[in-house]
Amino acid sequence: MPAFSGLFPHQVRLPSGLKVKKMDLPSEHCVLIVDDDPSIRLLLVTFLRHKGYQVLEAQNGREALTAMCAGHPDLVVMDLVMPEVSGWDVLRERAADPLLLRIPMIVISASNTRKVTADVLDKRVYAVIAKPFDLDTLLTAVENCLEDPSGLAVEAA
Amino acid sequence: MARTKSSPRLKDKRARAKAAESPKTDLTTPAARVVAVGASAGGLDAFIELLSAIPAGTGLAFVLVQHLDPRHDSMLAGILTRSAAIPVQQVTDGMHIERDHVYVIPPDREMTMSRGILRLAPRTSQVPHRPLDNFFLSLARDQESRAIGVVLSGRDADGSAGLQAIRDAGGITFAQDIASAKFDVMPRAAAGAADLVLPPREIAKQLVRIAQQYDFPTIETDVIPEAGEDAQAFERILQLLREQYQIDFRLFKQASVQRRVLRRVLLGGFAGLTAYAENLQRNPADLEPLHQDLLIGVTSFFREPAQFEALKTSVYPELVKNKGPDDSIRIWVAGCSTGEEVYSLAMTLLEFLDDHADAPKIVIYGTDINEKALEKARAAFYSERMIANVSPARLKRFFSETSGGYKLSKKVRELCVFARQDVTRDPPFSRMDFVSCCNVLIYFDLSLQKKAVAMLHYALVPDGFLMLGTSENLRGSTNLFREFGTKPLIYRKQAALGRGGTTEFAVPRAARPKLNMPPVAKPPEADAHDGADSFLVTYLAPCGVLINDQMQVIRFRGDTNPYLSLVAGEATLNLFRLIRHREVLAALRPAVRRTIRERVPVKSDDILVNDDGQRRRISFEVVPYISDPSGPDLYWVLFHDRGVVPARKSGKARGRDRRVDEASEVVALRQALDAVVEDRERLADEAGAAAEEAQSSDEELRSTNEELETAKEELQSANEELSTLNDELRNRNATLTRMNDDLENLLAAVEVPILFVGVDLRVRRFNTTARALFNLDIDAVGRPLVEVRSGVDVTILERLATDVIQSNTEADVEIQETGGRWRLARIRPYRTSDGNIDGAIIALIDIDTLKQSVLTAERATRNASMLAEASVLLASSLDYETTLASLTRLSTAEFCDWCAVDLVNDDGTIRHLTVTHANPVMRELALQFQEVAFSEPDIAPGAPEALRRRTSVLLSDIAEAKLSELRPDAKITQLIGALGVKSLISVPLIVRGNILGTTTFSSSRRRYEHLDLQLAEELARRAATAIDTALLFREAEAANRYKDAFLGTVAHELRTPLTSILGWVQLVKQAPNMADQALNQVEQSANLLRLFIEDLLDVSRIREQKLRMDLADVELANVVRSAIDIIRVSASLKGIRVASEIALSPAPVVGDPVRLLQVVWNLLSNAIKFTPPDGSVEIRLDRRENEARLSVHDTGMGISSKFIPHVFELFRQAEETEEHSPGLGIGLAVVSQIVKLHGGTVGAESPGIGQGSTFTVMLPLALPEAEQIASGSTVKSGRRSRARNPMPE
Repeated sequence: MPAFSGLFPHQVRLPSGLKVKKMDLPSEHCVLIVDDDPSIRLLLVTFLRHKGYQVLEAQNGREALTAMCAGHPDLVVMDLVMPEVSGWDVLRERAADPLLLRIPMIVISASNTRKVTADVLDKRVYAVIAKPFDLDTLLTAVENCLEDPSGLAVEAA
Repeated sequence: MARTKSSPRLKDKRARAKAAESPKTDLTTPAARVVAVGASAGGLDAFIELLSAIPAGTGLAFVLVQHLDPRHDSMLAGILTRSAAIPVQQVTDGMHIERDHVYVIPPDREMTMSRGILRLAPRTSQVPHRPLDNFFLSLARDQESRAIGVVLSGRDADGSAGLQAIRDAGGITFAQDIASAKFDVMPRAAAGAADLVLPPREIAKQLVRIAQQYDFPTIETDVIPEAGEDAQAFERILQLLREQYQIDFRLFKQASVQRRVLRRVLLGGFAGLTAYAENLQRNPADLEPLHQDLLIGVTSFFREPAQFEALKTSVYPELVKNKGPDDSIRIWVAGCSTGEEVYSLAMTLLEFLDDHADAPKIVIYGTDINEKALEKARAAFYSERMIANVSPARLKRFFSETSGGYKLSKKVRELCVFARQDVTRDPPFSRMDFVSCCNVLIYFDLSLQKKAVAMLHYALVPDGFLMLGTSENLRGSTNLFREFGTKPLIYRKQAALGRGGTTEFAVPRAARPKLNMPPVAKPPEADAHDGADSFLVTYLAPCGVLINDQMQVIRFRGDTNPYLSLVAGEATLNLFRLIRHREVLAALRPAVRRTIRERVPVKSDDILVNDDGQRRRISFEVVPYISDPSGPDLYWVLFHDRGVVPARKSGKARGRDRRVDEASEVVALRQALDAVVEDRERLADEAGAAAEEAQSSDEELRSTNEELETAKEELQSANEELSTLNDELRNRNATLTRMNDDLENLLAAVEVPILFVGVDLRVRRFNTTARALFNLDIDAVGRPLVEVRSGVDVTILERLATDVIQSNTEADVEIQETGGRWRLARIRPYRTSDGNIDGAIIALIDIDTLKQSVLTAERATRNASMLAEASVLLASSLDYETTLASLTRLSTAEFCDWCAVDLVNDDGTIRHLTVTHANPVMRELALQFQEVAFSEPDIAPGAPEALRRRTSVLLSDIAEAKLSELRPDAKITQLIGALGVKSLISVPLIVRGNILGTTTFSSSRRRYEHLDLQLAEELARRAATAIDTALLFREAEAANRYKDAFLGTVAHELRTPLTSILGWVQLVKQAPNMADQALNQVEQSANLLRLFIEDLLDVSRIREQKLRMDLADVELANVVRSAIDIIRVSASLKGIRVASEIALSPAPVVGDPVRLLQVVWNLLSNAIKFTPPDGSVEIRLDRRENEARLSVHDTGMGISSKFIPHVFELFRQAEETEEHSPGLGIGLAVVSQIVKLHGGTVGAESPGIGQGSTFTVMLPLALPEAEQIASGSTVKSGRRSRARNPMPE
């Protein structure tokens, strides 16, 4: 599977309020899946496409940030523990960048979710979903989030 | 001897006449001598032994006095009858005593004797009953010197006083020899009063002998005749006494003197006075008993108790009248004997003065002529018998009991001064308020009494008191005194008469050295004779006499017999009494007078004298002779024989001649008469003129003389008093010298330094040890205490001594010498015997050992409490940085100036954990000190050395430690100076054999000793333990954290594949068309899960050492290839290149092929996991010597150097890579354990983060032995094989 690639320097910022039109994508909403585990990534991509979403995927934080800066995703579903640039790194980058903060974020983690929930409280994360998760739960979170991204529904399944 | 003997002798005769008057007595038979024999318990045997040895006819009469049971009749007389040769009878009242009879006292009766008659009376109620004393006393009174007393066996002291009375009366006394007595109490008590101490049989012999001696007329009458052999002997005895003792007993009452001499004759068993006198001449030592007898002092304490009470009421009040505390009452006891009366007066006077405030001082002079008695008086020590009359109250107050008797207290003794003085001869004392002269005068004859009384009169102040004995009076001297009281007999000096007694005062002035000795013609000096001789030779050597102006012949020259003769009457050398011819005398008188008057020679005409029928002519001349201008005027009277007038041939011629002769004699006589008349007339004229002149000058001289006399007497009195005082002082001085010697020796023997200081705090006395301690020299006495230079702080001593003296308290203070030695300064007031404080005594007792022990104990206690505190502190927290800082503060307060704790880091560097200085300003310097010390560890003292040697370092004194390496300019040296480091302790902190660091204590004041080191070590031990505990706790905590993280990791690793599996399953349910893809994914994830779980199980097995190994020969190359096959897919998925270089020859290793595969796979997948896409992983297998070497290199994230040592530890991985790479960390631990189980090693290297890493595994090859030996070729072959078999990929 061709990974999303391309070098977008982090300092490049899109003008505020401008919505990048995803011309080549069939669905209205585009979800970015970030997980280093290929199996889980494949599962989520397959599932969300099945549900009609446009799906992008990244296998670590660096690829995720690239995609986010490019303005593609309407929502990011991200694992935390990843080699090279971790999910935590992404959250820190995003917190420092108001533009990135506009992209809602759902965290999925195999770690102790209670601790994670506490740690991401100030990172404007829409929801924290513990692995292993129910696909419907994830779907509900994704739908709700896309419907009302401002409502924080940080939740652990 | 023709003195005043008459009166006592008459009295004696009267007494005997009275005795003779009794009707029953045969007038021709002398009265019986009465022998009183007393006994008590055990007396019967003694009586029998005594009486059986007495034959009949001795003339003695025995009166036996025995203690008898008052309720029974006595059998004594009956029993004794059988043993005695003379009749024995029991006494009835009024019985006359007869010679050769024995009289026995009846029971329950008081027996006395009066005028030779025995009297019985009912017993008085007096207790204890003393029949012996009673009878003996009455016998002594009745028979006086004729009494004989014997005391035999008995159990109480009855009889001794009576025996003394008999002896005092001049009688003879015996006591039974103690050895022969059944009971010795009575004879022992009586022995002091006995003349002879013998067994009863011997007493009987002596009695018989004495009875025989009574037959001597002199002894029988008790009077020595005035002339005859006995008189001469007596005179000789007195002469001997005079020569020996300078006491003229001729002046004493002759009757008593004679009695006592005769008593000695009796006692000595001499044949008579002559024999006795001869004996005395041969043995002058025998004079002493006689001398003592003659001076017998009858005295005792409170002899007449009523008399002393009377003194208190009558005389003493007069004495204190008009006397203030500065005045003194002066009392003189003349004839004090052994001092009892003196002390009695002193005691009563002290009692009297008890009620008087401001009592005057008391001085009592006791004098006697008996030196022996005075010695006793001075000693002031009396036996129990002697103090019988002293009341218990007085005994308690004035005496102290010592062994064998009682001693007068110092208070009484000090009032009394004793001296030898003869009241009749020596100058008296003067200004006495009270003179006691009891029972002295009775020993003197009348003239001597008068002299003595005059003396006493002189000694008294006007109105002074004189006390005499009861049987004495003033006789003729009543004009000097007036009576004051009769009981006691007291007179007062007639004040008005003043020096009225002076006229009778001549004797003592006249001849002090030789009293009334017969005048002995003293020849003039020898050279005078020679001059006189030569003079006479030139003067044709006539015969003649040399006379003085008193007509006394001084020298006879030539044959003066024809001119001089001795005449009857008093012996004299008066020339006029010696002239043989009255014709010569008639002419000589005027001639001598003229020569004396005019100092011219006078020559007489021939004088015709009739000499034994011959008629001779004699002439004389008187020539003044001046041999020495300062000497007396002397005159020669020289006689010349002018030849015999020839006898006539015939009667006629004779008659004519006679006429012629008579005529010429008449002429001569007329001429002589004319001369005499003329002489007389002229003398009368001269006398008239001289008389007038004399009368006027006489008046003058008389008054002058009077004055001089007075002055002289006063001087003599004063002199006497002074010499008395001098004697007393000499005596006391001797005592004092002795005491001083004792004291000196005592002080020297006591090895404690002792110092006496006066009230003025000047050194008064010190002993030898004190001399050494205080550096005193001989002349230090008198130096102020503060000026004493010593190791002891004298200012403290001075202050204490001042307190002690002022407050009359005691002080004990511990002080320290300069050398550090401890001493107990014990300061006591110096109390004089009268209770005043006169300085202080300082004793400095060496208590160093004790004190050191106490200090050690105190320090140990302090150390223990400090350690306890330290323990509490250290246990209070596991934060050892804080607790150690507190600990240093604690020890800084108690133990040191500054304290530092320095820890050794793992890499050997030093961490200055904490430094505390008592003075916070100095803290920085102390820190510098430690820094410098560790930077110059070879020369710096303390901590570096402790660290190096792993033992404590004690530098008691840095200056003494001779740190020769320390250059003066070294920084550490400067810091030592700046910090004032004097003493230093460094202790290593060692726990379980590991050295953690050091603690250092430093002081500028203390000198650390072994004990301090112990404390420091103890502190260090606790500190080290605390640090160790804290470190262990931290490790445990860390391990715990790692474990938590590990569990989190495990959960994460389990959830990840589980998520995948569950997700795919759910997806398939919704979209069954995706089943194939889903099943693949599920299978993959399930495999991952299984591998992970196996890893976990391995970890568990390894931890429990239960990892199972199936050993076989394994070709590593195959294993490596299999592993590469397994990971190739995932590597290519991630875009990582895998390269391999397998150069190992077919030599196998012994191992479990599955486990070895696990090792390789783990290393490879680990490398892939940590290597980003586009990275590469290289695997290489080759041979190093006898081992196979497998290395895996990646271009991944690398490992920090800090983490490398922990790479292979369980759970370690998670911490470092938490956010990025879970799921690792177990793997490397498993690798490491498996390799170790195969006998190999595993290592990790990395240049740093992001620069990749290399893991290397070494495994021993299962080589044949030959190949192992040639290890070098194996390497070569390894290289060859690599060259032959390049990596296929």
